[in-house]
Amino acid sequence: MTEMVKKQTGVQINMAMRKTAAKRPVKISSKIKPWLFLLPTILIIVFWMLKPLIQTLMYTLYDWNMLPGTMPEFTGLSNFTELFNAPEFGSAILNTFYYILMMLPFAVILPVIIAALLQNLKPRTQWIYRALIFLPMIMPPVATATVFQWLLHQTNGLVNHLLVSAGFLENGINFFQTEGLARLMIALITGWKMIGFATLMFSAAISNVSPEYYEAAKMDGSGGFRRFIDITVPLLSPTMMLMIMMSILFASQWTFSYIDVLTQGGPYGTSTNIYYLIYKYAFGNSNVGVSAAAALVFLVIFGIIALVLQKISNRLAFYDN
Amino acid sequence: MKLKKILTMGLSLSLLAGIAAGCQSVAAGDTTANTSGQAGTAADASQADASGDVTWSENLLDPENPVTVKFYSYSYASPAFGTGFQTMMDNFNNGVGKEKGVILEFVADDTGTKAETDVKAGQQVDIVQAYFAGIDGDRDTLGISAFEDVFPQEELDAHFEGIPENCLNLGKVDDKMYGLAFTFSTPMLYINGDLLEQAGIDPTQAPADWDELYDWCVQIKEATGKYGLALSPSNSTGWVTDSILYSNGAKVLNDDRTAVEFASEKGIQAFETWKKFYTDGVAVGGTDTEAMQAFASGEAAMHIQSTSVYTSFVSAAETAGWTLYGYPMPGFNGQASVPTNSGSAIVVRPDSEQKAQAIWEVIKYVTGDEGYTIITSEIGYLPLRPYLAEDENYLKDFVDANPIIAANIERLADVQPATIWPGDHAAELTTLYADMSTKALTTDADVAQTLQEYQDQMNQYIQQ
Amino acid sequence: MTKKLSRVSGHVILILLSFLALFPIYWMIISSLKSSPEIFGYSMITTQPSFSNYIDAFTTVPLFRMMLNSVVVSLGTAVIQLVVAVLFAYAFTRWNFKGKIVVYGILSITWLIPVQAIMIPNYVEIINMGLNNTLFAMILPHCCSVFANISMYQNFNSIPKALIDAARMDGSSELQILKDIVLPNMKSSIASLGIVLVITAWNDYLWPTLVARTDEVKPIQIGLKSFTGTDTNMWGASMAAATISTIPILIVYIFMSRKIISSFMKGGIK
Repeated sequence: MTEMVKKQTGVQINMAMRKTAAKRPVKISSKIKPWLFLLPTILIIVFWMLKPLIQTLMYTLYDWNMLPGTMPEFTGLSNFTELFNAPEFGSAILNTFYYILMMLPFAVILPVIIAALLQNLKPRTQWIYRALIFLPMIMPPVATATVFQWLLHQTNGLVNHLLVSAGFLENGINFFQTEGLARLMIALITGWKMIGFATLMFSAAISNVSPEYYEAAKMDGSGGFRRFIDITVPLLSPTMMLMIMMSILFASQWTFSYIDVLTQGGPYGTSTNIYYLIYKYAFGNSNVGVSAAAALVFLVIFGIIALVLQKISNRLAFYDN
Repeated sequence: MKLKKILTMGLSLSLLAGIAAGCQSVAAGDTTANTSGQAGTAADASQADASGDVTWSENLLDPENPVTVKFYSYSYASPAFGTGFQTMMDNFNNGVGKEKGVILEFVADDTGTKAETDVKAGQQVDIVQAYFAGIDGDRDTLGISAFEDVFPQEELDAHFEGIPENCLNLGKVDDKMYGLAFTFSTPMLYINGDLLEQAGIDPTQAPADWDELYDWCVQIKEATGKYGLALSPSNSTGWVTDSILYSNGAKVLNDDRTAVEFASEKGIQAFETWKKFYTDGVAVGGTDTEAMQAFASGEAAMHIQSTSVYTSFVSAAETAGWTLYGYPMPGFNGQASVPTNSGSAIVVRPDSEQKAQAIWEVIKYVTGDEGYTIITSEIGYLPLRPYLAEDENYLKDFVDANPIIAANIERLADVQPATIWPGDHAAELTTLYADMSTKALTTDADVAQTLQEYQDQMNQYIQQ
Repeated sequence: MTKKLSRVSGHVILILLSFLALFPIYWMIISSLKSSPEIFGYSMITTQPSFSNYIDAFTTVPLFRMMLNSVVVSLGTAVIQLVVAVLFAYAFTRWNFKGKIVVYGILSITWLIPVQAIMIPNYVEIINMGLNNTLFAMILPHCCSVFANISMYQNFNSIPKALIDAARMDGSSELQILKDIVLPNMKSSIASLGIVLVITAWNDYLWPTLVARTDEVKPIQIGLKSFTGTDTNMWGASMAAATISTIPILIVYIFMSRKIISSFMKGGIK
């Protein structure tokens, strides 16, 4: 394989040489050159990400409803007072952590087990399972939300029908309007999407583990489960760390579209999270200042978390090859 | 390690970059204010013209150069209502509009928030079909004008003839009409006749009050296994909640709109009665849409809803082969209920006198005899002009064939306005009110305590 | 004996998981093929598949137009992101320059900024540019994907530096080296990354909700939402629309699952 690549590129070099021999390239100072190539990235990042980030931070001090003809009005820190006093703020923060915690089984625990189960199968069987379990990952979010809305519908959904006809329930459950269940469903749907991807990550990591470790362990006479605990789990710890980090940093982001389509944060604000709150304040309540204040609170909390995680992962990095 | 170094360096640098960008962003903020400022001046100008008594000295409309009026409508976006609105638009544009020089263009606003975002984006938004509950807030978020400030009084008087006084009051804030009642209904009790008959109940009679309704529901649940009633605790904007509270003599807002007071003895009592339906499993709640779906699919025998979805229930009943009945929503202790209004008002934001004249032509058509004939017969909303129901040229045949509409029209004289939340925090209050119902009715939480909690929270917002 | 047992139980778990992954998608498709009264029954199959739901879906909202919008936006976004990422990755592989670490640091931090934290200023910006309710509004702010830049850089790292050096000595210009030597070698990984970027853009939700206002501009994801809030029982049409929005990705997946999976395996997500 690598042989082929080399041969091919060899030919290409020859061709390239013939082509370029005639022309002399224009000399640009080699100090500027890299920056010319980086220019698009830098311009876009500064204009569409860093500048608006700073603007958001400034909006925290203003009261504005985005209406043309109105100017943002300086109000000092009152947006923060309003935010901290808002009834949903507390549950939004708690739920943000709830969604993170609920992601762990789907991003780490189950995928590690599945990847370990897959490891011993024939490549072709492995492939089929992987392709199937991965499928939810590519499903569009609104389509996913609609399908689950239909499956879990209180009076016409398949799930409630099965539960009632099996005698587990007398009446169907309204999954998305019941406190506790609504956020659990959001977490499960997000997990349903995540699990295939995480499995792939762990499968890739396992396939990099040298078979010699397992051979050695087999010689020692340790069983499948022991080998899993003693070899697989420790060797996968960098990947686990990566997936944990991703869950923490992105879990709430992944839930956004499901919350928006299925519960709008309800019932009575019990399935909302900080991302949804930021959105709702800005475009539902027309309250830019409070929305920005919520965004700042988010950035501070997650900034700290990211730094802590970075520290931990550095400490764990000795497993890495 | 290396990564850490990268991270700290990156962090400090992005902060530096941030400060630089901050300077830029001030400039960017200024341009925002400038561009939007222009839109603002136009609106201000028209309002300045309009203060005091408005007079139109000359006709500024010209059939040669027609003016386009953009009418944001959620009904137009709905598959169930859209065709009726299409008919109105076509008839207007081929008739009055062509003659006077006005082109009506409905803009589908499926979420009801597009008008607001488009106003913010500085786009042309002339008329909006708005929920009553948010009208006070719309003064701020949409920048709408009071009718008295932009249309001449004699025009208003002439057009409002034949509309019941209390209907004209539905969209008033601070004694000025900011919203003209447009498509609306009182709460109706829909009945699936076949399910009632299976339970041995005569569907040709309405239940006397909520207690009898409860007994029916229990009977239905036992006999058929289906739910007796489908009613969303939050019911869209909470207009049924309003009606239920009013019917038991409770109030939602106090008279000078400075505090909510639903956690009264009467209010708690009404909620206790209502809650029993859910705790005993004889009613299904959920969102308004889910409640409608439960009734339309035959999973619930009765349903409280506006007549706006009448036509789609008729077709659901036809396909599944059951008979649809409809009555006014019952009250408490054998009394009739106090009906409130669901649906929408027309709010306007003209930016010139010419535009105001064009908008007025549209309003005269859509809330006139022909407009209401289409709205009532093709969608099922109430005609704001009750006399049309007696007129053979307009709605008589339709009303005779659909007694539920007649029952709804009868209630028109008693309609009380559903709550219009005080402006600054209208959106937050609407949400809290819905949350209050959901929590008090569908959880184990104590009703009195929940109502009190939410009342306190909402008063905090109102008094801010 | 125990070995066999554990093997069987392993298969049971895997089959169960595959079933859970597959079933909702199956239920979506089968529901979309059931006619009006049948859809409220709970049968696992339909004896008389009907396409009336699809006709409903297409007449309720302009689904074709919305699909086209999605195709334009997701392809446009992905292509621009790839170009930007290739230039970035080339600069990072080719040179060691002052400030490299700083640029990388800023980039990895911006990766953590959620859309919600920057959406208001960007929304105002799009309006000031007069681009609200255009397809550009959906492409422009996403021209640079930090994820694409970093994965492209990782891919480029696999090119032997000697190749580039040889070409440089020969006097080729940087763009020629990039075009004639680097890109031909990177074809496959660029294609894989491209697929991931197209899927990500296709599935984008929050930003298009803000800037796509009319049916003519809405991508399919936003168009689908018209069905979730309607009053009547439009489950059939709703499932049909959901199926339509999924099918292009599903087809790509069936034919290219190997490539997609391997590129996800390499790259990660955001």
